[in-house]
Amino acid sequence: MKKGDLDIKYLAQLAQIHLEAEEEKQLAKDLQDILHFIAIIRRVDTKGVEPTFQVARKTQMSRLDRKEKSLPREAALQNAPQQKNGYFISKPIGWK
Amino acid sequence: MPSSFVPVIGLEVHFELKTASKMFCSCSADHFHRPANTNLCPTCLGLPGALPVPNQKAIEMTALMALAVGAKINRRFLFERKNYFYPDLPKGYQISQHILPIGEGGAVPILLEGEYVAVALHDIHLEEDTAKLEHHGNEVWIDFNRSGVPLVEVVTQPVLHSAAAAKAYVKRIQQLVRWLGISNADMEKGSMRLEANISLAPQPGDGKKIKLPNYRVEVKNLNSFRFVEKAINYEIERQKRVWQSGQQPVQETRGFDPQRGVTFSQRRKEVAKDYRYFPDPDIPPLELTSTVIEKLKKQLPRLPWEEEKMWQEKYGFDWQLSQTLVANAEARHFWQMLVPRIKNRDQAQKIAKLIVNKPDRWQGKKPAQFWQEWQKEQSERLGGAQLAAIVAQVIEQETKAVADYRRGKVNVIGYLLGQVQRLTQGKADPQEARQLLEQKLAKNG
Repeated sequence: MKKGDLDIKYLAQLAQIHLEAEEEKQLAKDLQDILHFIAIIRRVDTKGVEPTFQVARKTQMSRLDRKEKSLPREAALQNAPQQKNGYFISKPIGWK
Repeated sequence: MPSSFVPVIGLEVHFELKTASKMFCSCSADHFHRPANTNLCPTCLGLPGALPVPNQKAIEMTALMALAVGAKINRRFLFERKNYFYPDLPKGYQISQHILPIGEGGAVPILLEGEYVAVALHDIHLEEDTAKLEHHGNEVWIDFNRSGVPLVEVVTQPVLHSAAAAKAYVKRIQQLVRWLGISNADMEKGSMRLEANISLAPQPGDGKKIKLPNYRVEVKNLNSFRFVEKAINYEIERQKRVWQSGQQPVQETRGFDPQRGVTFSQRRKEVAKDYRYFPDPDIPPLELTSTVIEKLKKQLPRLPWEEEKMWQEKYGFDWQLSQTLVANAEARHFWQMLVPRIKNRDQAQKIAKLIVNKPDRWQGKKPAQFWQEWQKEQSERLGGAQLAAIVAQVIEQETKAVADYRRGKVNVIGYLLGQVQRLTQGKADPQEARQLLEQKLAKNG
């Protein structure tokens, strides 16, 4: 595989999703388009410009270490696809 | 294939901070033995739209740790997203630090066979703990109470070369964070957790530097000091065998099975390391102001290794005595209360040894009471010419034990000491009696 090529199977594995052959093809094309788009943006001269990854404010405010009431358990669990004895239930996942 | 190897070990120590609330929300950070999923809010559940707001206390505790080990503080630091997909992460990423952690570099002094060795650090960073998982058959039960609890990770450079050094380092970190009051660092409760990276490098020639191998084996689940030592020693031997069979050990993550004392491959592929870090757009960069740094510098106490050296210099303690005294919080506290009464090195050494070795002599007592009892005992102590006479008498009577000693059975000195104490009704100064015995026994009878 050439540098810069997409390994779609590898990305699917990282995201823990299953892709059919057809989906793999489509996604690979979409992602390749995105990379192409980014390659164009990268031609812009950004010398002396700080990277921008948020526009809210220059520095973040922190908060004081005070605890407040949490959600009732029923509320916390209400959207769980599966639950048991107050726990969220999930399928095991092969690796981390 | 190299004929001899040197182990190259790096450690990652995680500890939970002792804050009241979580790292990015106001839920309680106290998760131990709590009913599952009761300390939760939209932020630590990773619900869409919830915004993380960093806990100032946790930031300051991490900076205090960084100052204690002489790390460079990044006054402007970042939180980043570490992406991986696992049930313990509700958001699909963990908020951590990567390119601009709170602390970079620094070193932790440990004692190895009486010598101070500085263990160089890579970085000290702050992140959020993950959920706790329980595996029941084909189900994973998830408790998110731990999710979002502030967690500090201290990463060393690959500079340790033995299991004993690794253990000494981990103990030192635990001592330090408790000393600073920033974590309980309780391995049984999981508030301190360890991972070791181990590889074997060819033994370099004299005066040459170790060439780092191009692989490393990460061992997880090391939740006691004993396991750290066992797992590392096991790994060293295992990797040696792999090298000796003509292969290079593979880069992988292994678990440790405490029951069998072995490590086992968790078969995770290296691709899992692709965490795709990027700055969290929800958390703009943060700043540690000069005011905060100055405040923390003032808070910084005398550090454990500084105190060890202080007692060594002031009272001539050997390294074992100063290390044990400083490492035992209760003994150290009692000792500190006695220090103002102590007049000389001899007194200091006697009292420190007594405190370290005979806790029943002082536990539950007030310093004044202990002092009084100790002084009375000292005044009744038999020493000098009187003691020398009794020692001489014992040596004359115990011909068999004396002969045994001189043939190399030095353990019989314990028996001879017992005889001295019997004749003095236990009033002989034990240290002096031992010295006198050794002197006389060394002379040819």
